[in-house]
Amino acid sequence: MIAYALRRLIAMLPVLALVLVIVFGLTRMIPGDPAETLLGPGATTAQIDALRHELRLDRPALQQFIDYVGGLARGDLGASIKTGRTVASELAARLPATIELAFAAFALALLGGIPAGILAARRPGGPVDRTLQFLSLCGVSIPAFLLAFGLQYVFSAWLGVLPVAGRNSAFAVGEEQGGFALTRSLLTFHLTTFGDLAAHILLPATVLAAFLAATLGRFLRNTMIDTLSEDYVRTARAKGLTERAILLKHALPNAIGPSIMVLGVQFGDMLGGAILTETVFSWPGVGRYMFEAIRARDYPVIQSTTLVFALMFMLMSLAADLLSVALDPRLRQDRGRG
Amino acid sequence: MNNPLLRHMLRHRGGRFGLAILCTMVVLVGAAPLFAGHTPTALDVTRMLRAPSLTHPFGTDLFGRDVLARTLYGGRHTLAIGVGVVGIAFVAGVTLGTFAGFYGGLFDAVAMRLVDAVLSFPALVLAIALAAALGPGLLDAMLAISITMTPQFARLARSQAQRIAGTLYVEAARVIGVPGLRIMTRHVLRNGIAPLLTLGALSVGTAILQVASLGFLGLGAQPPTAEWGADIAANLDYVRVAPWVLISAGGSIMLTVLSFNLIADAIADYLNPRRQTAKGRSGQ
Repeated sequence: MIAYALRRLIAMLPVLALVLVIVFGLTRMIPGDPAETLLGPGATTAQIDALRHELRLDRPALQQFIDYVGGLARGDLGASIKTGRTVASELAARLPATIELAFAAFALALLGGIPAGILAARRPGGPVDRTLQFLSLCGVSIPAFLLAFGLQYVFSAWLGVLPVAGRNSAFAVGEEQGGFALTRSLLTFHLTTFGDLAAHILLPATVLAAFLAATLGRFLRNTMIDTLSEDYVRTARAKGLTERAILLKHALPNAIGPSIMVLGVQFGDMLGGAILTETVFSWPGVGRYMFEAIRARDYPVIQSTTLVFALMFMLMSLAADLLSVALDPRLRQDRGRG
Repeated sequence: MNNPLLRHMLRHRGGRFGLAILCTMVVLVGAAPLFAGHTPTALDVTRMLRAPSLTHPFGTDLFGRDVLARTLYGGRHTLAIGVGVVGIAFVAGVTLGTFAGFYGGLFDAVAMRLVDAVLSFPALVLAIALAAALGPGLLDAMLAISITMTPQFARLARSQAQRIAGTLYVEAARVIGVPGLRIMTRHVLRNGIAPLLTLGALSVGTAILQVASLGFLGLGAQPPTAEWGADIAANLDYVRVAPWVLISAGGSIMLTVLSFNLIADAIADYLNPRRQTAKGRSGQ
């Protein structure tokens, strides 16, 4: 297993190199002279030259790339053109908020998607199945920002039970803010703080979870239906096992494998959705940071946030791959690349 | 293939529903001048953010423009771009994948690593980053989204090409001296195109969602062009006092994507090899 994990990691290296080339290339795709575009029409030649030097645009492309990768290795992601602050420190402050949001959404998606898939597969074509199929179709068809506004409208403006936006209430100070605040408050039993943070994370996490839960539910339903026609399920039925035992102990463990791979792939869509969701909910994470950078045409920030999202996605794909191989050793042999 | 597929589609509950929504949308949007009653860019500062009424059935937006007209005309852009994006990705991906699969070698290795690299990015994140670099605008947004969608077509086309390149009739064509390029277009491409077209149909819904998302972030259509995502973004600050802009543009996006997903589901059912057996089993 460890050998397999290492092989997968090594296989990722050339792809990672290409990912870096693409991320690096983003600034070189800006039409015209990037420095001129960034500074706007009012800039003097001296200012343009200074920025060109700062962005290392006055050196050959290969040298620029090597400098860029060297900087990355030292944790230097450059500085924001608008604020002057280093991107690395800004990212460090925002990443925990995005990670907590992503994992909360992931947990919600599992809680919604797995039972839905099992329930639907029990009677394919029945009323439960049809209702769930329709709901999941809506889940994959609704734009994230529309769902976000809908939930805000119902739960905050209309019912008034959940906060509209933000990560915590205004009274939260110091200790309660920043970092992995939700996890920390739970582990240290600060339950009032935890309640406040959880109430804030619920709506954005639901928006992110909707697409994932819908995809997972649909996929799991189909593999469950296939599994339920297997001989060992018939044997289990003949033995007189309860429907519950058949579904949960015999069918689910055999059907869940492919769903894990699907979750790994769909995690990327969830990260893309995080940009929209964090923006609508004023969530202080990487997605909103990227959105603000796009508005300000702050290219070093756009570049780094893109890289961070790509790395998160690659890690999750690897984790999904390793997990499904750990669950089904047969895959270890025949999963080639590409 | 067309006839049995269409018959299946009309018998399939979801497929029928999806086709009905899509056809209605296309007619409404295509004949927008007939139904709109107003021009989508006509400003009227005396009637800003009015609630739906007889003269403005969907209300007016921040600039007093008729929301119904903007939704109908905006649909032209959103739909055309959605289909256009898939078209570009289809042509680029199929060309790349077929060459790579048919000829193999170094080109194949390089092309597939590039495909892996693009697939390592969350699709929407890469589309946003590319669109931001290229500069805001409809064409650039289109190009950005197509780049993120090309790899799926390339991968599928490559596996199709590899499969067909090993068949007896391709070997026969080679033996009688048909040039490689002609084998590729006449035999490989023509025999392997069906699953690719299905993937194309499946991708339109995703493409429309991405177009709207980019528009929502200000990277797609620029004002005063009507486009669903961009219209929502433009009226965002007033969504609580005037939710009708969000509801008409957002609802249109959702209905359109839903119709494509329903159609894609029906096609997937049609192509599912277990379809016949599944039907037989349901009698149990």
